[in-house]
Amino acid sequence: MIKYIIRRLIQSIPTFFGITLLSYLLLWLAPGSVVERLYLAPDIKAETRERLAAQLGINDPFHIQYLRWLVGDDWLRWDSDGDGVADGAFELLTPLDEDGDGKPEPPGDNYGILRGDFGRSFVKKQPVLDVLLANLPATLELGIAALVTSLVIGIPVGVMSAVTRGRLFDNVSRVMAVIFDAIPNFWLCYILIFIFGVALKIVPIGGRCVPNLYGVCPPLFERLIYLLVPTIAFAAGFVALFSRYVRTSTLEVLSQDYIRTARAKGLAPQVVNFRHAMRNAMIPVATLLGPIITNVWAGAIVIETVVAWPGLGRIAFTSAIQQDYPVVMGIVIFASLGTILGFLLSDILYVLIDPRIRID
Amino acid sequence: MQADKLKLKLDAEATLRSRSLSDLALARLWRDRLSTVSIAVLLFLTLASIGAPLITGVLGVDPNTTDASRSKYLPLFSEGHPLGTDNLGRDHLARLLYAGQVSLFIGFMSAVLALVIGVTLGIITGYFGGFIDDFVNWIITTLNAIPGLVLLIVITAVFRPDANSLILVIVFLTWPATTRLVRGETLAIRAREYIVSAKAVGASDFRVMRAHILPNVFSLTIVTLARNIGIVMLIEASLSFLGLGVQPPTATWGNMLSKSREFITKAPHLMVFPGMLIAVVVLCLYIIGDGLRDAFDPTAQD
Repeated sequence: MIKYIIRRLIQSIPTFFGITLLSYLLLWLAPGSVVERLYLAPDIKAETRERLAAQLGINDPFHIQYLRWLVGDDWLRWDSDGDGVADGAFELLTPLDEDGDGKPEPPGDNYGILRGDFGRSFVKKQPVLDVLLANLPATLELGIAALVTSLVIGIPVGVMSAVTRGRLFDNVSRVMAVIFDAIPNFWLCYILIFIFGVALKIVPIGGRCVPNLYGVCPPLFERLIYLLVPTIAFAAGFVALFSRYVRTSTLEVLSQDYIRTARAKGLAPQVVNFRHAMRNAMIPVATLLGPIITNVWAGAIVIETVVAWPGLGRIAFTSAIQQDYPVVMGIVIFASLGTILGFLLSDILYVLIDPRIRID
Repeated sequence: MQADKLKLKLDAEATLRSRSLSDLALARLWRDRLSTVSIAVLLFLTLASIGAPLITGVLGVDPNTTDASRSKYLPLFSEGHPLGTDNLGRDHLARLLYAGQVSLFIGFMSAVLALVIGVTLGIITGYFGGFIDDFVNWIITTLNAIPGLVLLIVITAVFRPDANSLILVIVFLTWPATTRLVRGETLAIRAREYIVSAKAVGASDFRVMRAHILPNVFSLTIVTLARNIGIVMLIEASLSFLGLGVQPPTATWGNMLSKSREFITKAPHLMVFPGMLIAVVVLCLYIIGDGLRDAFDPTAQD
């Protein structure tokens, strides 16, 4: 088991580097970079602009910039003015003596993303990691609420649907599942807000709690009402997904010999359906955990934007719009790490809960 | 006369005999009432969108002209504007139809392009294996590990694509799924006897891939096409809704929906129709997708 986990961890290393490479490439290709911003500022002199650009290392070739972003420049220094002294890939680790006085220049103070330093937000003027961590709880709150809700509703519905196969409950729940799959969740969220928030005024129309001076929210149980609409809109698609998935796997389990045996020895149908069948039908659901995290992120962006929920999804959206690249890249890396971990966890869970699967 | 009868008989026999898997599948799909209705609804909406100039011409309305004399926020069933008008006094029905053109085009083109790329790459990587397989697999795992919409909002926010480049961006994110599917199937087919014998009689790699593998993976992928179009349309809607998709004045159902929330209290009906159209089209596509899957299921009985 340990060996398996280690192997899976090692397998995700190239993936992680692929992600960093892709996100840095995006940033590099992006118009409206820092330098262009400097050009837009009218009170900056040309030479100041050049010096700033050089200090930011913007003139360096792509691989140098990428490595610096990845591992930081606090213990080594690159050629940052483009005169070619330490730009060679093999000279990366050489201390750079730019002015030729025999003493290397002091290193920078950027730790690189591998050590959790995503730089500072252009807009918020804070370290990116602080911004991300400050917004993480809200997203976790909403994401977990949606996942739990959808599991609690989706699994029993799926089992019931398989048990009553071809009858009214099955047909209705399957039609509902397809419909909720097809409804854009942001639209559903709007409709719910319009009906229950604007027209009936029984739920707040947005936010995570009553706005206050400190910008902190009271404990969860005091503001459950704020969670209601976003959770329903968020969970609707997941309920559809889970119920369909559980229905298929339950149908498969129900055709097994041990279910027939259980019925034959006279066990009550509920016991057979929910003790014998459901527990085994749950196993494939564990494999959904990885892929579903991707959907949680997608849902978070859209739903959080609709209801002004102060989480990572909304930060992802606003900082992409404001071209706050350090935050954007931080979120891409953060989200991808979450997804990789999710896939890893679901693989491990799958092995752990299904005794038929043996590793090595 | 006699010969004619004989010919007719032979034709009839020929049609009886030549019921291939896809013929059977189509027959099954035709008998599936839900799928047939969905196809009809989808066809109707597509034709209405394509025929938008004609329909708006008959009604005497235009999707984009705004003039100060026009009345804004007209309710449903207003004279000359069956679905009312929006904040700039533009006819809502006309805009919906024109928006349909863009939304359906983006959905259809992206899904087809992703299919073409997926089938090509999937067959190549599955057939040859080795370095190219590892490399493509690395890209796929990487793209899969980044939540799609996160990457999408970054790309669209940074590059501000128009309708055509939006298609490319969506394709960039959706080709891995088909590629993986086709690759897996190709791996299974590659080991079959008929491939070995084709190679033994000297068929080139290209011929094996085109004549022996492609037909066998194609039905598999065509089944996923309908569902993929639906998924792409939802993605496009989410993006446009966030204001990152196709930019106004070009209307899509997504950006109409996005705009409508600004005047939700003045004209709630403006929010209902674009969302409903997205939901109905995606619903039809999903139902057709399920129908196709069942119809092409080789274990199904007639």
